Amino acid sequence: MTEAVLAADDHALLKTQLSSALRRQKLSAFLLVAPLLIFVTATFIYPIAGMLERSTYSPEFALEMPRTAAALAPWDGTDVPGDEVFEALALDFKDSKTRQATGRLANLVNVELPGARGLIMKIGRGVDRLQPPYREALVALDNDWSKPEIWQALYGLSKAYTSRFYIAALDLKINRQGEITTQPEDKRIFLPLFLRTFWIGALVTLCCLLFGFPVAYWLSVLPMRYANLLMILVLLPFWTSLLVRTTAWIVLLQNQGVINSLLVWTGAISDSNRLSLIFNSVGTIIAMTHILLPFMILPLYSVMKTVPFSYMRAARSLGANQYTAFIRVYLPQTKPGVAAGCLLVFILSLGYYITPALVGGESGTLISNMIAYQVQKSLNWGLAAALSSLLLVGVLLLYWAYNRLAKVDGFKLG
Amino acid sequence: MSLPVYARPWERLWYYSLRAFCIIVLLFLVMPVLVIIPLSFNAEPYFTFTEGMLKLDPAAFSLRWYRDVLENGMVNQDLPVASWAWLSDVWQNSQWVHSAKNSFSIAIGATLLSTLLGTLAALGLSQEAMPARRFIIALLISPIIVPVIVTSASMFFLFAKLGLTNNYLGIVVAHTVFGAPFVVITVTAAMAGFDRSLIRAGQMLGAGPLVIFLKIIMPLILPGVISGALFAFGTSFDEVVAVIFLADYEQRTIPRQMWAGIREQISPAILAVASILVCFSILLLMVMEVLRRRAERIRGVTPA
Amino acid sequence: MPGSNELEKALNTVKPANLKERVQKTSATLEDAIVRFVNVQKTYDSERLVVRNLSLNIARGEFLTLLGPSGSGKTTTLMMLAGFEPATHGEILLNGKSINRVPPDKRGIGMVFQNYALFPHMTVAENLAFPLQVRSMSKVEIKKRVNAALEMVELETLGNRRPAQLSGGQQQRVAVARALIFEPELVLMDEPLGALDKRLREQMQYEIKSLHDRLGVTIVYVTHDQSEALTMSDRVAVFNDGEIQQLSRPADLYEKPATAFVADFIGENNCLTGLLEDRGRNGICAVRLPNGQVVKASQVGELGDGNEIVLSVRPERVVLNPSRTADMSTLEATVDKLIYHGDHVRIRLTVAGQKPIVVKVANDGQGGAVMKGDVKRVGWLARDCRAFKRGAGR
Ligand SMILES: Nc1ncnc2c1ncn2[C@@H]1O[C@H](COP(=O)(O)OP(=O)(O)O)[C@@H](O)[C@H]1O
Ligand SMILES: [Mg+2]
Repeated sequence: MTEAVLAADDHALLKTQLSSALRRQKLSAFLLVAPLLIFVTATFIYPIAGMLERSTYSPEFALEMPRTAAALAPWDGTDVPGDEVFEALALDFKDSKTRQATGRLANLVNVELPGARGLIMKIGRGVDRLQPPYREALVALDNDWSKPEIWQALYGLSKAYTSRFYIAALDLKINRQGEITTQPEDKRIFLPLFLRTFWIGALVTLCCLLFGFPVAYWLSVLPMRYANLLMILVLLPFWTSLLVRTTAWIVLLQNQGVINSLLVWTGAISDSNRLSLIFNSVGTIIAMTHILLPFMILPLYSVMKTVPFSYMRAARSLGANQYTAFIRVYLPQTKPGVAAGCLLVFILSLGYYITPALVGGESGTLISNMIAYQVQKSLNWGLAAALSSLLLVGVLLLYWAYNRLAKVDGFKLG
Repeated sequence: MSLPVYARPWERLWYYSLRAFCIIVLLFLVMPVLVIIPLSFNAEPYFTFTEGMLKLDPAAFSLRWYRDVLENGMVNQDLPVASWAWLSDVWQNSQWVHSAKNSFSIAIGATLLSTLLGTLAALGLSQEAMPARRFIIALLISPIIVPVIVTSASMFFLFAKLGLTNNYLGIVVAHTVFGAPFVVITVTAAMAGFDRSLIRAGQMLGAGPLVIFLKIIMPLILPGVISGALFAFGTSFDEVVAVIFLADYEQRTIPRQMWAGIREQISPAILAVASILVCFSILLLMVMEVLRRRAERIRGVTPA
Repeated sequence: MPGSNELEKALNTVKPANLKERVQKTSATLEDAIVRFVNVQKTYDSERLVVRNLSLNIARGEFLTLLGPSGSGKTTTLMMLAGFEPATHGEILLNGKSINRVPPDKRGIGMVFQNYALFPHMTVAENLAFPLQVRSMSKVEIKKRVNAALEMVELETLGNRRPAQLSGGQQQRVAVARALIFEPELVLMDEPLGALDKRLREQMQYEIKSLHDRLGVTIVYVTHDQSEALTMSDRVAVFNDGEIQQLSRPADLYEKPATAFVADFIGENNCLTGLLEDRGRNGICAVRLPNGQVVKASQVGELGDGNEIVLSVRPERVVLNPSRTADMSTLEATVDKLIYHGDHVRIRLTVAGQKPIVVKVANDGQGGAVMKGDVKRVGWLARDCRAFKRGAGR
């Protein structure tokens, strides 16, 4: 009996020793990872989280115009609000004038209701002369104050937590009844752009697969010496600057560029009918296919390298001809590579910015270009954040799928 | 794989057309990159081969665009070419030389930082005991996947608050984020091929942890570290979106200036810059190839 | 080298009754040969011949093994027969017709690959069905045959598993079943048991052998394991450096090796060198060892006067303290080492300034009879010692 108890004690001791040793190992491994993890969290995850917050949280207006925001809160959103709101607005404007914040306010409102800058600036100029009753005074200053549009815009701005950026980003709007409806077809901007990004990405992925699969296959069956040599042809563009490659395509595809000149010279087209290969979606697709092709070939190649010859041979010896053996035995085994390559190319193409901006023209720009425009030109950061978040969610879903298919450990380069 | 003797005519046809197709695709991959090199010697401001160039007339070729690249921004345009004064003027005032200096210093800074952080992380990640390994790897690699525009815009929003925009540090930090995943990938791969019993053997022979790291682990994973560093360098050197968002004119890099050049008025001088960059990437590629062979040799894998 | 115990066991398993039948089978005449290699040569790099001038007839229904060290060209020979490598020169005939230009899928030859090459994306049953599907058999027929094949290899319950979910031995059986399911006349096996552990290997040897006996297919089997070759085969072709050194029944291979290479490769062997002294009569010649002593040996092939000779004696045929008879050659030897093996003891002796020789003596329980450093007489009968010309068939 005592023996058994002792053994149990020993066992417990052993267990604690083991688990403390394991903890130490875990800790030491984690400590090595920690610096990069902290760095990436602080400079990558945290900013992105900030961006996500910005897409739903915009306190600027409420901070500038506290009275108005408070007075607008109970408004039902129909028609024009009551006198107390006009009064709050006028008082807030008087304050903001002393803080010299009117310009900033005008920008804020203008983002929400394009063209409203003038309206606000007009108040800014005339705010000192405003006397109660404020409703009449404001309407006298500009008749727009008697219309619901500006008030709806201010109402939207007055809420710190808001879904309006997402509503805008999804081409929705809030109608007079306060319901969310879709924009009329001709006013939709972002959904068509998302759709185009998706389609061009899919098309580029398909082209990459069509071009990449045979090349990867050929390289994988060639003797190593030749395969390594030809691989350089794949790796050279991979290592060449993106801008250099984009420049090259501009030079090649231009109206007066190499390809058109060649075609004219051979007589395939006449000088007056030069093809427009660039500054449209064709240019984007060609250039992006070229740039992303190595990302298809490399994972395909690394999977195909691991499929032993003997499977095809076994299939042949069992009576399958070349074609059947390829379709039924070889192809299924390259599936992980195909999936990984396609997902990778698709993911990367969704986020392309530089190439479409330079060669895309009107019809070849993608959602990234819109985000950049909203950040830099239109200064609607909330909308940019909402668009970014939508793009990010799509990409992360695909990335998750990619991780499930091709273990991240298997993420191959060069 | 050569064509077997018993191949049928259609098999032959298929075999040769597959080859032809592959060669065309490979040409599609390299031709655009290579074609700009001869074009950059064009004597005329055109983007296609002039008749003189096709006839290999020496007068149709010139170095004027390369000279343009160097001299643009010089204070004194009348100095004799290649004189000391000219060189020093170029070094100090040329626009492109200025961006090249920026590109190199930013890339070197980002490479050092991402190699250091990435290698440490990879060492931790390749240990059995590492908790939440897959998740952390996925997280550390995500900067490659997340669209640059999203990352750059987010960084811009945050860095603007912190005063890190228009500042070298901000760009180096951003490029480190982009470069570190490559180091993690390559070094983790190198560690995966690393025989852990070597560490035990080292311990049995009386080596301490530091000696084991320096004398056993380091030499074997060094090719992985170096190729990761090269990837990080290439990434930073090529990166332009974060620079657009975070940098001012003073911090412009070569790709940033190319971007501006292409958007405004594309001139053959851009081709000259592009050609120089192509040569630079050929150099990088050769270094990578040498490293790969070395790694194979160390592992005892000889290319068949 | 595996203990010669195993070898003896292997030889004993060839039952006498069986033997007679096999001898009949193996006398392959040109008509009933299923496969003929005629002057086949093969080179991969157009510099080095990997297979040199191979001529070989394989009889219908026989179990022929290609045995040889790694790199000797066995796989290449098999691949040429299967159709995966073209012969550089010469002709291969199947059932009397040249198959040099017939693609592998039209040859109707079954094959078991070294690592089995079971399709990883198909279940066991799908793997088995594959050759039947490509032959456009009806679903019902396929199902019936697959079930029968699974039964044959005793894997009835595992039809829905993937190959990766099977043990090595089970994979091996599936591979064999897959090669047999479309009822080929000829099945090729390239080191099929190489990846298995010893016990499993022995069991599978037995199973393959009994399948062969039951189905009557012709099997060409490649191995570098001599005991495997000797236990399973009707005939063995010993390969070295792209050439067949000897093609004969397993027992002859051991008892009557045709070249020094075969003598050395099959079983354990003691090797002495000397010069031909006298050709003698009845195939018994005299060889002078470097220390001047002369020993008698049975002569194999043409030796040529004054040529360097290699003598080969099996350890179990060397006698310690021999009686002096006319047939017995004796030498003085110094005991160098005793190696305990349980049922027998091996004594290593240095003799006549040559490489040490090994003698096997049964363990009679009185192990102390021989000590290190003792000087003993060893001897062998002339018929147990074979003399080869040096360098012939190296
Ligand atoms: N595909 C090949 N290309 C070039 N040489 C080969 C090839 N396959 C085998 N060899 C060479 O041919 C020789 C015989 O090989 P092999 O037939 O595989 O021998 P074995 O099966 O007896 O071990 C070896 O030296 C090997 O290096
Ligand atoms: Mg072999």
